[in-house]
Amino acid sequence: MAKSVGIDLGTTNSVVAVMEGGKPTVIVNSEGSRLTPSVVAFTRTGERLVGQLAKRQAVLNPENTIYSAKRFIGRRYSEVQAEIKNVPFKVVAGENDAVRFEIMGKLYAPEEISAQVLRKLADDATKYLGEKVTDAVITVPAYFNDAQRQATKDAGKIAGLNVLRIINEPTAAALAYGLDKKKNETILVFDLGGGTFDVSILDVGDGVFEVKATSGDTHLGGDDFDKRIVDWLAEEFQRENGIDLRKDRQALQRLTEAAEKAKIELSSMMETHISLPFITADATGPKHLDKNLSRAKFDQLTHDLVDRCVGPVKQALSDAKLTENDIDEIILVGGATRMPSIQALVRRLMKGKEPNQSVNPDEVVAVGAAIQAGVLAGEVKDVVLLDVTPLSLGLETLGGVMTKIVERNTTVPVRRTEVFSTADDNQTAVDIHVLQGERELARDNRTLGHFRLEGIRPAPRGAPQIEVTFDIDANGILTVTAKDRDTGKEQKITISGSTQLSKEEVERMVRDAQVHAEEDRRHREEVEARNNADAMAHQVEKQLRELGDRAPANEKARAEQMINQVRELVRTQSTDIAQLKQLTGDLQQILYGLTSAAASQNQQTGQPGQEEPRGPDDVVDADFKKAG
Amino acid sequence: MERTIEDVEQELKTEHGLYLRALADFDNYRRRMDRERSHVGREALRGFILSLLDVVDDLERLLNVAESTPFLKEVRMVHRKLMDLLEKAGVHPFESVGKPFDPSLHEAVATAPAGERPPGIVVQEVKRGYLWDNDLLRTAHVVVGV
Repeated sequence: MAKSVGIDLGTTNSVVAVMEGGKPTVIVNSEGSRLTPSVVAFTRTGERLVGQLAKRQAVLNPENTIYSAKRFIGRRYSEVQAEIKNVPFKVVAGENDAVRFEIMGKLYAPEEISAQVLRKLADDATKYLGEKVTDAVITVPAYFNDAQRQATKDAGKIAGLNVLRIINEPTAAALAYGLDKKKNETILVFDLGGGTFDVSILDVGDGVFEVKATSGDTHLGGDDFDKRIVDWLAEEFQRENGIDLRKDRQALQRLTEAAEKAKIELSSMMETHISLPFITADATGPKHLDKNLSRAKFDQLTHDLVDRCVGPVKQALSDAKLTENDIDEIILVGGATRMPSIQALVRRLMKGKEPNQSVNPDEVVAVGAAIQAGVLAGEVKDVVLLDVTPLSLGLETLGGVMTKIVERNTTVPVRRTEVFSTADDNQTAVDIHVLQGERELARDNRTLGHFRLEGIRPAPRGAPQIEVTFDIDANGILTVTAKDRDTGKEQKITISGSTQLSKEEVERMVRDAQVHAEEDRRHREEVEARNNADAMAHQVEKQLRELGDRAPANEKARAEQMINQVRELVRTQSTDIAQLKQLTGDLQQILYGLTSAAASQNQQTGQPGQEEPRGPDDVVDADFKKAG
Repeated sequence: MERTIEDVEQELKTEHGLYLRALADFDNYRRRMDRERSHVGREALRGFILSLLDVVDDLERLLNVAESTPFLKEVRMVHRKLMDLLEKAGVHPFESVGKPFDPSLHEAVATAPAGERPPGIVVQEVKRGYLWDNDLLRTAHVVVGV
């Protein structure tokens, strides 16, 4: 069954959450983090990076690394002049004064960029849940106009998501605290993020939220507080040593990291120690930075930033024709609201009323969106006993290994999908060998069935996308479906009784797997080493073919010799992992040299690049063995 | 509209299927949570190791400038001991200089002229990267040739 998620599509970071067993859960992304930077990069090699990976390469590629797309989405070019000055990438006017990003000669709409972020979040959620995510509730700031909402919805559509609803961020925060159940209350949402500050006043009654007023500061956030610490440290250091650390890139980097750490520590401690030995050096030798920062000093350094929050709160109250006495609930949103000075300010402005802050302020919006998605998708109530799969189910892939699709002890009914590809150029059919068991190699497991998917259009190996779905219903009936995404051709097999093994049989198979674990692991490694070497040889061969006579002769000879060596090792089923890995590494170096040689030649002659465009990120987990 | 018993039975079957899937969902969730709980200890340790690596960085900065000091040998011994300890816990530094820039391991902090090498190669390491049992523990902060 498809899952619906809630997505907080932020200016700086995005968060995705889902309802599971009636409770919202924030999903950890493929890099192991709960926050995903809203950054998309297009690299010179034609790769598209999203999130943390895009952020890590931003310095190398500033003109093709897009962040803060939210500041541009659904707006007119003439409206965003001030924003354009703050970003290093190229923003141009498209048709009808629409905002477009110009990336390597191509124009992209902000919604296309946001779609990439949404796609990654949905993919990571799919991976985490083991279930396809198709539906989403996406949040937007309360002040977004119709065009901005529509563009956000379009971003969802471009990402292949069915957007169940677009809801306001403050509404989502209120849902996370269950305030929709309140009768006739007035809620103030105070949202201080990394770079933006929003105040919203909502009315709730009978589960319906109404936005009474919004206000804020589009360029105020936690990052400004970090910068105050950096400036203070640098100025103190300059006074004592006569050196401006902000002029030294590496020193500044260390200062910035230390400042953020200090700010976080000061939320729970009264004083923090900042120690950066060998921060710089002059003729007299190395210099160290060693400072204590008290919360009182930090508050003094940042009091004007805190004061800047006052105006918008007062403005929102007066726009809603209310006073602080009319506010029934206050919700804190955004990581920066963890700072004691901000919490004290809110209490002071709200005449001592306690704000709601039990839900993580970085995640509260996504949590609320997930609750909304759960409501729209229907709820779970009672509990019955359910079966589990006694043994893992999977299929045979290149080199005779078993790739598990459904792990043992997974509760049924369950559906899992993975995408595979072909192992050879112009391969037109794949054999699906359905296996059950815990061993690494296909031959040691139990065969449940065989079938073949034919009619794949001839293509280079790795290009076709074959979607294989394992579906086990509540009665333990397994249906395996293979579908070619290109032609839509589909083939399936139904196997009953995959869960009805005798207890003894299951125990024997699990025991066998444990006994042979070490040897199986080695076999698998050997197969993987051979597969990797073979794939690399194939890539180098292809690059050589494309370059033709332009490939440097000595490189070419060396590469060909190594390719032959790999082919021989693969043919003889070599078990020398070290040698295979060595060859793979060497070939990679050669490939790298060839690619950059090709690129520089292209630059000189003005030819278009010859790098192969990479496919979507979710393909080619494993290769099928050669058909027939 | 006429509804036959078969229609109703079919509908009931569909509904029951949906219902069971939702329950299965929860059961799988519970199992994943159990598994994740066992990682909690590791996650806590991760934070500690990361702060320890900050100290290792400082010690290495000291080593870099300590060439002419009388205690160089002793500082090296302490460093060695610390690295052995980390090694035993499965924490290993990885080399970055001379390798192609890879955003899954490296964080670019600056660029520099590539010189002899092709562009896109790491020319300097500002902060060393570490793996923990083959998983990325800390990205290397690097300067990349252009």
